[in-house]
Amino acid sequence: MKRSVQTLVAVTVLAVGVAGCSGVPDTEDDVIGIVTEVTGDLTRIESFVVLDANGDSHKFAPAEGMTVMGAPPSHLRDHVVSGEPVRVVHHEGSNGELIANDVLHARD
Amino acid sequence: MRRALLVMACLALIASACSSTSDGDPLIGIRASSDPAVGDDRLLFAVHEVDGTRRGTPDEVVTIVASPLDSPDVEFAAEATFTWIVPDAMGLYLVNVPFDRPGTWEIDFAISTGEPTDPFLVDIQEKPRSTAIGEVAPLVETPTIPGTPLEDLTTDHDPLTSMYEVSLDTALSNGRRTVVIFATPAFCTSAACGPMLEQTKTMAVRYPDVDFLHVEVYGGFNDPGFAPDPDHLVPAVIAFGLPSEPWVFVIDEHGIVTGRFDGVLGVGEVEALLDM
Repeated sequence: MKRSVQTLVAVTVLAVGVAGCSGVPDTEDDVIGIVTEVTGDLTRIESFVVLDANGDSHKFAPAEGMTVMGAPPSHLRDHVVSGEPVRVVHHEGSNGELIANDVLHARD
Repeated sequence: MRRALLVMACLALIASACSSTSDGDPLIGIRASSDPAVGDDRLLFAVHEVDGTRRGTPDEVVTIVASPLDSPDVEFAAEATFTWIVPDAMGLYLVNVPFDRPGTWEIDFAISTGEPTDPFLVDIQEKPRSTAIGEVAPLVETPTIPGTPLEDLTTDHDPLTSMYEVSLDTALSNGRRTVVIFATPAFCTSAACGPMLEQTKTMAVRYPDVDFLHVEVYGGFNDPGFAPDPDHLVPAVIAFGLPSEPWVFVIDEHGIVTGRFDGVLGVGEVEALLDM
C-alpha cells in the first residue's frame, strides 16, 4: 500500500512537471475591440493595446510568429488608423502578461 | 413611513448610479500618427465612443489644446481638420502642432456636439525615426522596369506603370521634384491602406512634371515561402527609417524632404506642396 502511494505521488509529480514544461498554453481566450496603441516598428512590435466594448483596455505582447490576418504584426497600426475592430486570441504568460497568439477580424 | 421613504430614496439613488449609458461616457481620442516628434508635427487622431464606435464627420468640429504634461501652463490651441478615409463612413482628425519639447504631452479636445471628452497622451520624441522635413532624402537604388518584371515590383492590382520606371536615387538627383509612396497593398488589408496609393496615382497623372514613385515595403513577395517579415524589408524602407506603412514623402528638386505623411492623406495636403 505504502509503495502504491509513493508511485501515485511520483506519477502525479511527473505529470504536473510535464504539463508545466510543455510550452502549450493551458487555455486560450479572446478579446474583441479596437486597437488603441502599438509600440514598435516595422521590424518588431513590442506590445499593443485593445479597448473592448466595456471600455476596458488589454495590453498584449505578440507571440513568436503572431500574424494579423496573415499580415505582419506591424499591420496593427493600420487598424489604429481605420478603427476596424479585431479579435485577439491570447493566453496568459507565466508572469500574468497577456500574449497574443493570433489577431483576426472581429467577425471571424 | 419615513423609513420606507428613506429606503426608496436610497434605492432610487443606487438605480440611477447603475443605469448610466454610453451616452454619458466621454469620447476618447486615439493617436493614429506613428512618428510624433519635436517640431511642427502632423498629429493624426481618431475620436471614438468608449464602446469602440468610430466618430467624426466634417460637421463634428474638433478643437484641441496641447500641453506638455509637466508644464500645463504651456498651451497650443488649434482646430483639427477632418479627413475621410472611407468617404461618408470613417475618417480621422489631423492637426499640425508645434511641439517645442520632447516628453509626454496631453491633448485635450472638444467636439462641437458638446459631448464630454477625455484627453489623451502623446509621447513626443526628440527626433523622428523616419527622414524628417528639411533633411536630405536617402539616395537608394530601387528596382525598375524593364529590368524587373512589373509584377515583381508591386502588389498593386492596378499599377500605374510610370511609378516603376525610375529608380529612387535617379529621381532624387535628376533636378525634378519627387513624390514617393511606401505602401504594400497586398499586405495591408484594412480600409486605411488602399486610398493613399490611389490618391497618389491620381496626383501622378495631374502633375507630369513631378516624378511619382511607388516602393513596395517588402521585397521578394512572389518568391516561394515568402513572408512579410523584417528580413524582407526593402533597403529604401530601412534607409528612410519607416516605423510603419504607408508613408508618402514629398521631395524638392534638390533632394530635400518638404513633406511627410503617414497613414492617411488629407484633401489637398500634397497638392499644396506641389502647387507652391
